[in-house]
Amino acid sequence: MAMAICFKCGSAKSGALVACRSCNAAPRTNSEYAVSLALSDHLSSSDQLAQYSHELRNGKKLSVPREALVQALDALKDPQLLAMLGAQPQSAASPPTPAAPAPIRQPPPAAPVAPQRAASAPPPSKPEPRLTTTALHQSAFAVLSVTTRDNRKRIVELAEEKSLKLDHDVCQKARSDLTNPRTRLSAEVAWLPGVSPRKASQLVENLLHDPMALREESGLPTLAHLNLLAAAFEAVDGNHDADDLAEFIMETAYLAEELAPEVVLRDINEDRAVSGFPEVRAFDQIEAELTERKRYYRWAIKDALDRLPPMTLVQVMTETVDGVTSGGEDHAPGLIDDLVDSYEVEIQGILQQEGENVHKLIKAARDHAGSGEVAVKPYVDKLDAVARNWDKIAQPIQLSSKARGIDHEASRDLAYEIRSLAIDLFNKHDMLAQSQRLIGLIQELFSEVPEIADRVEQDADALTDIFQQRKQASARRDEWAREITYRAEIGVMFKDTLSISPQGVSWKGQNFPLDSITRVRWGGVSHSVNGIPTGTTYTIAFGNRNSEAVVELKKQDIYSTFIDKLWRAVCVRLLTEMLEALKEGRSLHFGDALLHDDGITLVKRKFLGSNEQVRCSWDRVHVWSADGSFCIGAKDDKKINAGISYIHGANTHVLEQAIRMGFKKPGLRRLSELLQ
Amino acid sequence: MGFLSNLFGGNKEDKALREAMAHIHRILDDEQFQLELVHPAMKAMLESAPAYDKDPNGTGPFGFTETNPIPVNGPIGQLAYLSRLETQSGQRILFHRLGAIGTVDVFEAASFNGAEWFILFVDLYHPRRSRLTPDGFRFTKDVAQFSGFLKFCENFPYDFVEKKASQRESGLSMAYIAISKVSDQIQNGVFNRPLAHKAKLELVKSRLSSVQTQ
Repeated sequence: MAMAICFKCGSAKSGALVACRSCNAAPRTNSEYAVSLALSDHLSSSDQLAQYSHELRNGKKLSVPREALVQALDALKDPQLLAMLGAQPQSAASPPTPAAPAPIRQPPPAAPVAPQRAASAPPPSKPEPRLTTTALHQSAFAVLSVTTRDNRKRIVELAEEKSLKLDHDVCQKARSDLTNPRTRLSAEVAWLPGVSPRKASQLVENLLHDPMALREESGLPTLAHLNLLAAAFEAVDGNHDADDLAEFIMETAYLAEELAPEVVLRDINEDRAVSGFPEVRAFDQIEAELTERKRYYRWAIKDALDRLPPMTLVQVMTETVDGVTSGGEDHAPGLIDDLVDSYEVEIQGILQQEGENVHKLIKAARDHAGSGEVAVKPYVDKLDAVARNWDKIAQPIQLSSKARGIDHEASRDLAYEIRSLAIDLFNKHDMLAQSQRLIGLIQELFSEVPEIADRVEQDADALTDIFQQRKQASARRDEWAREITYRAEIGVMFKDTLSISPQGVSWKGQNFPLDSITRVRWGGVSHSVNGIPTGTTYTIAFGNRNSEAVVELKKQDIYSTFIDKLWRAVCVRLLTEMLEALKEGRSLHFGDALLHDDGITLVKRKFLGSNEQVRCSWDRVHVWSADGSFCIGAKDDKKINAGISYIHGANTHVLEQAIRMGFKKPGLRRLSELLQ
Repeated sequence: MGFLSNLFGGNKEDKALREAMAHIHRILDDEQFQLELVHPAMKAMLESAPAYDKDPNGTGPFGFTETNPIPVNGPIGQLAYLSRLETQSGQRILFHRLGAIGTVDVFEAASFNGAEWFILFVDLYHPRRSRLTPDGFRFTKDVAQFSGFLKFCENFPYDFVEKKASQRESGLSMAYIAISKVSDQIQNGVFNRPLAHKAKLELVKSRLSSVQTQ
């Protein structure tokens, strides 16, 4: 087993992470594990261990090098080690929460321990929190029942008197602490300066019976009030109401902001004037002591938090930071900033672990993206859950960082990783739904990280636009499908089905996909016998380059309805394709006419001699219908014209539509202008 | 003759030698034969225990905690199972027994190249060995000659050669890997426990209910 020293009492023990046989303390938190590993011969020489032991026993600042702590924290990422630490039985004699100093920070001023006043948890039958002792009761003033106005002689007398009842060494140390000018100041600052001896005695007594009532005390000097509140935190147990505790921490933090060294100096010197001890003249001594006090307050709060179930701890931290920063908008009191820093160190391992899980899930989602959305969704589901968990734990740090005007780096990096997945899922795999979900998740979870919030808001807007466009396009597609779908039975005896739908146009078992149709024609021929109408035969033909289907029918309603559907399903496309072909400079034949973008070549018919081709610009021609044909002629020469049969000429109706549309456009020079 | 040739580097036709080799083969692979090598009373106990790949009531990561140990068939089964493990990077492991927590044996293991260290928990009270491996491991495709010990090695794994020699009495020494497989690493001193492993070792040692000194 390794040679190690206890992180709490400085005694030698075998094994860095096992309980100390002297004080029963066992490391329980990540920072305590790290410090404990650093305080072992795994990371320190025997000389260093002796020095650390000396520092801990004398309440000095631990001089553990940062590199040792980094190595220890790195080792604490090992999953099996973490599992073992979680399963490690705690010493039965160890207190429910070890009073542990923060790593490499100075612990609170060591108070003499009165053996007969060992701390114990309040009995469960009593609903209100009660204490049997507190750090304040272990002050030298309390141990010897000395007031701040007692002189040296009185202190010595009381120490002798108390030695008869209490541990002699404890009493002598308390006497020494109060009579030695160097150590007296620490004891005074940790006591109730500015409070009368009688009131001080009463307050300390009340602390045991109703510690939380001290929060309502008014008119107390700030430092004394803070010392009482810090002691009251010892009454917080695992069942304490989270909201109330957050409120309590906020009250303490705001009060700590009001600490004024000059007021403390004045209060202490007023008592010293009575007790006969020399006045404190060095202002910086007071400031240094107050700095230590603030560390102690942070430690007292942290110690109380450590007694809470993990998720309650996170809740209290979040509520506290949220409250003091107004959701990350205002600066927090320094005590809260320190508390958050301490919290960040403690949860670093958990965040790293959760972060790694997120990385694994992102990788898995990417790896499976090629298999489609169904394969990716389970990973996005898990990612959602893990990221939420991560965010819940990181929330206090995010709020604090935002209030300090900085981004929480780990949150930002994680958010960017998720964003990168969201972008890839959309750009590379067209998974809009999953991408939107991830962006929404980032927006929800990382709103406290300004850089992310801004960036992701733009992403979300872009994806929402795309989503809307797709939705509209899909709706239009559905509408279009409804509009063009039609089916009719043709024939009297033997019926055949004529149908049109997004899948194509079918007639007598022959199907033409819509996109394959390159030509359409239709028209009706009225019949009569001796001038008496005998009905109309309608012809509809459609086909591709290789074949054509021709439908003949008698019913006008079927004919009209089908032509309407055909127009929407096919002719609009043919019209567009025709205009695009013209725009590319191609010329298209329609009967005798040759269609160009800027005009049409017609035939000048001559009575004698051969006909002549005449190219007319669009402003030179006019159109009309006659004898089942679409006619185009020159305005200035009746001999120049062309007639294109509706029923026999391919796409005559499309041509007519294009030219008539063009004529409605003032100043049209090219038909392709219709595309604009 | 395939694997035996590879194993011992020769194409021996000698009948006695072939029989010896077949015997070693059975020690390494044959679960029933491995049961035959233990005391009859213990054998009966092992055979009456449930045969499964993993304790259905086990909790925690398989093989890495005493609450979810690897089921194997007796002490020879422990050697056979652990000797079959190799890491995802293809490194087999050297191992030795630290002691036990209750009825679960605790082994410390290091990859042949000294880069990875493990604490593994094995329950020997079963009629056959598990077909599963702990996370990060797979079964080797090599002939799984024994690469560890059921004893505690004070200077693990640097005392591998001496410990192997001490197996002569047990009749298992022929089933062990050749010294040449690890001698270079031992000479080069590549086996250094990382800090996390040292911490784990301390914790697990503090919880052992029986400690093996030799």
